[in-house]
Amino acid sequence: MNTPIMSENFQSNSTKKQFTFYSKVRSKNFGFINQNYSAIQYASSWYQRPSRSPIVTQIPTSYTKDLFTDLLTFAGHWLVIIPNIGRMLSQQREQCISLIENAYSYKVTPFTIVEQLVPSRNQLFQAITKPDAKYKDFFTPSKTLARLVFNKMNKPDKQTINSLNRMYWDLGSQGIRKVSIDDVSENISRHIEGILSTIAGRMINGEELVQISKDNRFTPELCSQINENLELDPYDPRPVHDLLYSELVDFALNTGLKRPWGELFYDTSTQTVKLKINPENIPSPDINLIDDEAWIVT
Amino acid sequence: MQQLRLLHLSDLHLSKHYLSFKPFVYDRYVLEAVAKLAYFYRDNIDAIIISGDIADSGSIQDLTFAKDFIDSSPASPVPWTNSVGKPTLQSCNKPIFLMPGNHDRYKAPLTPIRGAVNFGQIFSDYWENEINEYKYTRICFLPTIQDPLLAFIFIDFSLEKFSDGTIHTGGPWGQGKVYQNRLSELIDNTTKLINSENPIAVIWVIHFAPEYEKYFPLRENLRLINSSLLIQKAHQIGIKHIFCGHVHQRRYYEAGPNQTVKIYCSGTSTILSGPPFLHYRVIQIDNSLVSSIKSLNFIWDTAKDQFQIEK
Repeated sequence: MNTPIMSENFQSNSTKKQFTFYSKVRSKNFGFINQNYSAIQYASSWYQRPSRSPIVTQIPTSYTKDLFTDLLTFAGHWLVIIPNIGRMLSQQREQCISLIENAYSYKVTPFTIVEQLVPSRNQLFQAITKPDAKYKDFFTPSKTLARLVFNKMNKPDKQTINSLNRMYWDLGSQGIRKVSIDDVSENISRHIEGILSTIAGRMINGEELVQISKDNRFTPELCSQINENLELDPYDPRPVHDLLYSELVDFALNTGLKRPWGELFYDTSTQTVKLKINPENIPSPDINLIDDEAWIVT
Repeated sequence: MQQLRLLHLSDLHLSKHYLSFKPFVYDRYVLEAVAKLAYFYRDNIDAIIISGDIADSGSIQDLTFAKDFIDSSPASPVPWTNSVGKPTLQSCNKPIFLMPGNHDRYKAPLTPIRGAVNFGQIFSDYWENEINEYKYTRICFLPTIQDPLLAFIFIDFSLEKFSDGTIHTGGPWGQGKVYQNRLSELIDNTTKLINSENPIAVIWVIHFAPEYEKYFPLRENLRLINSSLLIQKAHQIGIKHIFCGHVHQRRYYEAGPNQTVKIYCSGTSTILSGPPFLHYRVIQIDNSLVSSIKSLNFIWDTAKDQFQIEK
C-alpha cells in the first residue's frame, strides 16, 4: 500500500509532531486528492461537493484508535471509504472490516461504504444505509462562468484571512483554504440548487408557478440573492448575471431540473425561466401526527 | 403531570464572513430551514434552547450577525424572515434561552484578546451583561418566571486562560474546564431551587459534553477537563438531565454512578458535514422533578433540502 492517509506524525501525541502535520495540511489546496490529507478532509470535502463524486482514499497500513476517533468525530455520519482493494493486503482488509464493525457498534449510521470490501461481508454492508443518491441533472457552469465568478468574487483582505487563519489554527483545525476554479464551479452548482429550493420553500401561499426571469434577465430579487450567495462584488455583477442566465436557460431547455420540491423549466411561450412548485413537499409534518416509534423516551 | 416542549439547537457557528473556503461553516440554506421549522412548530413549542457556539467567533461582527438570526423581527410575506429577507427565530414568538460556547468566547479577529466578553454585551437580553468580566451562569424559568415549573441553569465552562488547557499546541481553545468556583456557583443555585419552599425541577445546560470521551471517541483538544467532578456533583444533588452540544454529533448517554445522569448531546444545527440536527424535546414534570424526556430528532435531508424526522 502507498503512503498512509494519516501520517505517523498525526497519530503521535507529541505536540511537535502534530504541528508538522497541520503545517502540511495548511499548505495544500483543499479538495485535491493528496496523500497528506486525512480521511476527515476527504470526507468533508466530498460532502460539500454538489456532484458528490466519490473520493478515492486508502485505509492506512496501521489502523489505530486515533484514526477511528478522528473519522467519527469529524466525518462521522457521512464518511465514504473506497479502499484500494487490489493493493490491499489481507491483514489490511481485516482492519477495514474492524473499522466498519466498530463504527456499527457505535451506531454511526448511515455509514457509507461505496465499495464492498470483502464479498463474505456483504450482509454487513447491505445493512448500512446508503445516503440519498444524488441527482445526475446538476446544473454545471462552464469554466468561463466559473472563472468570471472567481474574478468577481468579493475576496476578503489579507488581514481578515490572517486573522481567521490564526483563529482556526489556535482552535486546532486547518486554516481557511485557497479557492480554486473547481471550488467555484461546485459552489455555483450548490448555490443554484440552494437558491431554487429556498424560493420553492418560501411559496407557502399555494403558488405553483414562480417566474424567476423577465425580459431575458433574472428578476431583481434573484439577482440580489445570487450576489449574496456567490459573494460577488456588488458594484459590477452584471456580466455574471448575464452569462449565468444564458447557461441556466440552456440547462432548463436541454436538461431541466426535477427535485422533490418541484422543477425548473423554460417556458417557451413567454420565454421565461419558471419554477413549478410541488406544494405537497413544502409544509413540515404535523408534530401531532408523528409515529410513536420516532420518539425516544428517556 | 405537566409537560414543557422545547426545540433544542446547538453549534450554529454563524459568521459575518460567509466564506466558501472556511473549513467548517454554517450552511445558509440549512439556517433558513431551522427558522422555518421553528415557525411551523410555533404552536407546539414553549421555548427554544441553544446550547452554545451560536457564532463562529467572539468578534462583534460574528456575534451581531448571530444576534440578527436570534433577535430580528419577522416580516411578511415570508413569515420566518426579517425585513431584509434573512431568517429569524423570532418568527416562532417563543422565549429563546441561550448560552455561549467556546467559539463565542474566542478572541475577536484582529484583536489579541483571548476569551472575549463581547458575547454578554451583544446578547445582553439573553445572557448577563459582561463589562470587563465574565458571567458564567444564567437561570431561565419555564413556563414563566412568576409561576415556574422548570429551571434551566446554564453554565459556561469555557477556558479562561491558555494555560488552563491540557494541550498547548494546536487547539487548547476547543477544551472547557470545570472550574471549582463555577461549579460551586452552579451547585448553590441548584440547591436553592430544589430545596426551596416551592421546589422546581432543574435541568443543567452546558456547552461541553461531560465525560463524552468515556462513551464515544473524542479528541483530547475537545474535551471538558474535570468533567467527572461535574457528573459526581450532579449525581449527589440529584440532577438527572444535562443538555449540551459542542461535539457536532447527536448523542444520548448515561453517565455517573449507576448511569443516573442522562446526557442529551445536540448535533450541530447548521453545518452540513455534521450532519445538521434539531431536537424536539418534551419534558414531563412530576412532583417538581423531571420524570422523563421524550425526544424527536430532525435530521437534514440533502435530497429534499429540508429537515426530516430521524427514524
